[in-house]
Amino acid sequence: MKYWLFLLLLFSWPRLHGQAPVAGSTRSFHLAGDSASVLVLPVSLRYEDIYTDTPLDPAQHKGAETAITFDSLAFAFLSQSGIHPLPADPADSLQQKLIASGRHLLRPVIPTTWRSVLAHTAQSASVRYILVCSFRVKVGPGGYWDPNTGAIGASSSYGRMHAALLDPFAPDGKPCWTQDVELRKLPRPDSKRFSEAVQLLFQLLN
Amino acid sequence: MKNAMLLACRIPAALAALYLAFTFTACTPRMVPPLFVDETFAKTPVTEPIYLLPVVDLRVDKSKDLKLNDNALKRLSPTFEKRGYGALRPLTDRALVESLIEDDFTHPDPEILSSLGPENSRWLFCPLLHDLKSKITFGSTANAEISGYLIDKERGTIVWRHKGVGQAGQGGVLGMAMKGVIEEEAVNSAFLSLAAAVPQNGGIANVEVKK
Repeated sequence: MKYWLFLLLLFSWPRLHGQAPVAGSTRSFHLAGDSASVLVLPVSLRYEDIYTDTPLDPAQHKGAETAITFDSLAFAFLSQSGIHPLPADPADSLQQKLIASGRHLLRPVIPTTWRSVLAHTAQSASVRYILVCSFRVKVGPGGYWDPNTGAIGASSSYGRMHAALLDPFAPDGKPCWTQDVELRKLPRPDSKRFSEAVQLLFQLLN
Repeated sequence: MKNAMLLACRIPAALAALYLAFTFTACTPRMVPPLFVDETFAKTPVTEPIYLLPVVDLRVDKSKDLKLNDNALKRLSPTFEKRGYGALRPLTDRALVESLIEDDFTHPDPEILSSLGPENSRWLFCPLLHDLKSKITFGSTANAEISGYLIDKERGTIVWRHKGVGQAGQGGVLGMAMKGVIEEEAVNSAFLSLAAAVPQNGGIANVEVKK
């Protein structure tokens, strides 16, 4: 019996810690030569209640720290891949307009009204591409164990990262490359899993 | 003596009546306020059939092929029938929802909404699967997150919205062997909590309208 239990635990051990981030796409994109310079907009971070989708106060979940860590990790991983990430300029009105309208830039096809703003921004910043990132965290009930019935439950909180590389001059308005990564728990900016998730997000961009 | 016997009979009878009353109350489908309901829709009786669109899959990892359309029909249709709308009419062509993203529902465009589903239809119910995860530990657990939108194609608007979250799990070796069942339980629980917020057709007196 003991051996069976041991084998069972051995079998389930990798799954017990199966909280590894998951990527949605396997498509890679290669930026060659001078075009490897990319304007990176700061991540749009949102915390929502899983039951109602109402926005939650990011301060309750270390939101500011998470956003800063995300951006610094993104810059580090992009630089490692040979890309020259250019930070957004807070004084530039066009870039501010893009940051405020993140939702439109994350659509499968960018609305025509935003394409001209993208083109002007890329021209003034002298870049070929613009990288837009969002991180949406759903906060739900935690795990439980009822010793009377044996019922157990896993935490329902999770976070989804999304990155889209936009070519402002693409005729069809579609992003050149997109990636989604899911983190199966509430993100902690200082954790290894968070760093792994951000790395996974940009792994196929080089 | 006669009075004492009568009293002795009355007590069990009253207890039985109380038990029955509690049982019926517990079995009555619970109605909860939806996250959103359009006031015009709440007051107008729906006479046309409601079509059920295939589930829009919003998961990141779509490698596991889920067949949730049958679950959606089984769990949602009886509530719609009970609340006076008639049975839902399922649409099975996945191409109808292939291009839809969450933004089409959270920031709806009347043109997109009006173009969904069959041409001659007016009401469409669209379930969105946000998340379904299952995990084997020393037992197994599953979580499901599903939202539902009722669309009025004629006006190009969303008239009702609600969300269901299901959490299920069982510990031990038995739980590990029941992974598939646990997953299904989480999905069904999410669909049922979604259905609980479907208002009575044409009258929403019991439901607090949230704007």
